[in-house]
Amino acid sequence: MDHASIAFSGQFWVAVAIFAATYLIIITEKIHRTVVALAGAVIMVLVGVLHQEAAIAGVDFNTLGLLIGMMVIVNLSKGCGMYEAASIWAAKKAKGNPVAIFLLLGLMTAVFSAFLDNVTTVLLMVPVTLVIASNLKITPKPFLMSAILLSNIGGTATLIGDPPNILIGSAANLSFNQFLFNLSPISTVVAIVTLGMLYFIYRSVLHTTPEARAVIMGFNPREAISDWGLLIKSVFVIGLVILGFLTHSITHLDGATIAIAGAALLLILTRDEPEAHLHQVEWTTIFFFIGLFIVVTGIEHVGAIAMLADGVLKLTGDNMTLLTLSILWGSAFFSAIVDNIPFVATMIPLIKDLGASGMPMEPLWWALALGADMGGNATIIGASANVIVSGIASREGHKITFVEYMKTAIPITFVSIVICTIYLYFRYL
Amino acid sequence: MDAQTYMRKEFLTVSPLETLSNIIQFMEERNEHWCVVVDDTKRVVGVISSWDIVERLVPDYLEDDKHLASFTSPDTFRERFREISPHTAKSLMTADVKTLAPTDSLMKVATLMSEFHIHCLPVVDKDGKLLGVIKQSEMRKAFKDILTE
Repeated sequence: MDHASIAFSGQFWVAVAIFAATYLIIITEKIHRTVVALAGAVIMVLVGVLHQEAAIAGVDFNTLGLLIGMMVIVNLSKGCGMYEAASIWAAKKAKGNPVAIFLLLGLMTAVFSAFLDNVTTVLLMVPVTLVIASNLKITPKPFLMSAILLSNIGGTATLIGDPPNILIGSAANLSFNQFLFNLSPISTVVAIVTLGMLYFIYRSVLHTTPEARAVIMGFNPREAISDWGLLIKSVFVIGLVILGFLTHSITHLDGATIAIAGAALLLILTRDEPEAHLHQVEWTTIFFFIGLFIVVTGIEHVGAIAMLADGVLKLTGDNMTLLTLSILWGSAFFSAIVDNIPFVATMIPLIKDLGASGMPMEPLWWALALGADMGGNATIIGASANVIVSGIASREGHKITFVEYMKTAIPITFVSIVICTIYLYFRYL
Repeated sequence: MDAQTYMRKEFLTVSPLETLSNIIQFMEERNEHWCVVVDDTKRVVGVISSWDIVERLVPDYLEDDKHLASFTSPDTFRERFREISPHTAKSLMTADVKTLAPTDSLMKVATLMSEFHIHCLPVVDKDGKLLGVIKQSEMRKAFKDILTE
């Protein structure tokens, strides 16, 4: 059945209603988002919008494989303490100077986040930050804010840094190197500007005593390493995986193959029982993706996305600049208030349809990635990393309120998106 | 060999509103690692062990990241204890308490201790009122009795 014959039919409205209900319930957070997405997906099949084969065909297994493989590698590798040792080493290199530590840990968060997912990054950086701030006898708030903002900005830099990038890369067939060449320069600039703004905001509290500095200077980063064998194996495998991504143009291996191969190799090298490590894979996130893929396939199948694309084209009147910048600012706005994963999952087929009209698509993909990844910084609920850090902060008696967060984050996010606007305009438009 | 034969009748009890500072003092005076939390009618509402206190002392972020404990500031231990010392028994106790009836066999006592890693089990009557406790020292006494039979 072609799209034209389904448009505005009963099935069309059923699919749109399932999609809308799924997304609305996800936004209200009354029921776990994974359960809602799976229920929406199943209903799409039960009411006959999709056959089971079409639903399964809509699932992007490359995205899932890449996510699962990276989760196994990261969870295994963090058992050796190398990420903590690196942060302690940075604090020592900064000679216990709070400003230098603040800037170095911020940069480190961005770099870790470019290769690890944002939640893992903050779960690694926040505890070490709390320990360092407590030694320096200063409030950890500037460090906590920096962990949130820089993890989302750093995640923008690579294909594997943030789930929206994995989704976009897989759907649009964009390689690791394309992400690196197109997004890492701008995310580096935004990271530096953000750190500068954070320093300006918090400069009055970044002071400590010579005694506290001496304590930091007395640290031995090696004490953080609990398993040297695992460290060597992890560095080796992570190195190979990154090499695998970098050489995609020669090997033509896709992301899932490289990540799963890395996970299998690390499991072989460590000879660990796989069960515990496979349990650590965030299956709720994986099933959330599966549900979303099917729900989006449902509305794509009935032609709703194609119609939306037509509408967008009519509104922007084939004006590439207007279209690209609308995607950037629109994605940033939506990601600030809702989960960026369902938003990006819906935008992908839309952008593909826009591309079908003969538009150059790359700028649109970069606009979507930049907006969705960085927009999440604006509010404390804008991204998973934000929610995790604010939870830890309240438990440790350093509660960051919704408004307090926004006072710092909204100007920073606004400046970030302005910088992205300038970048996209001059580089692509 | 049942619970009532071996249970100890002298032990530390505290009210749910008792603060940790007082509980520590009581434990120290009586050289106890345990206290049973009872309400006004002597019903058991919880148990507190030195272990519960240690667990509360360690912040979640250090529990989650085992690599960092050696880098904590020298004052962290003192500061953390000061932070939790005003907490009440109610907020510190294990509320889901496994209890024994006076006629329960020692094998049941041993099974509960082994299955749930419990070191102190309150013995209660039909209304849930506290009669005594069985700890590892009581179990040791039972073992000794068997050896000297």
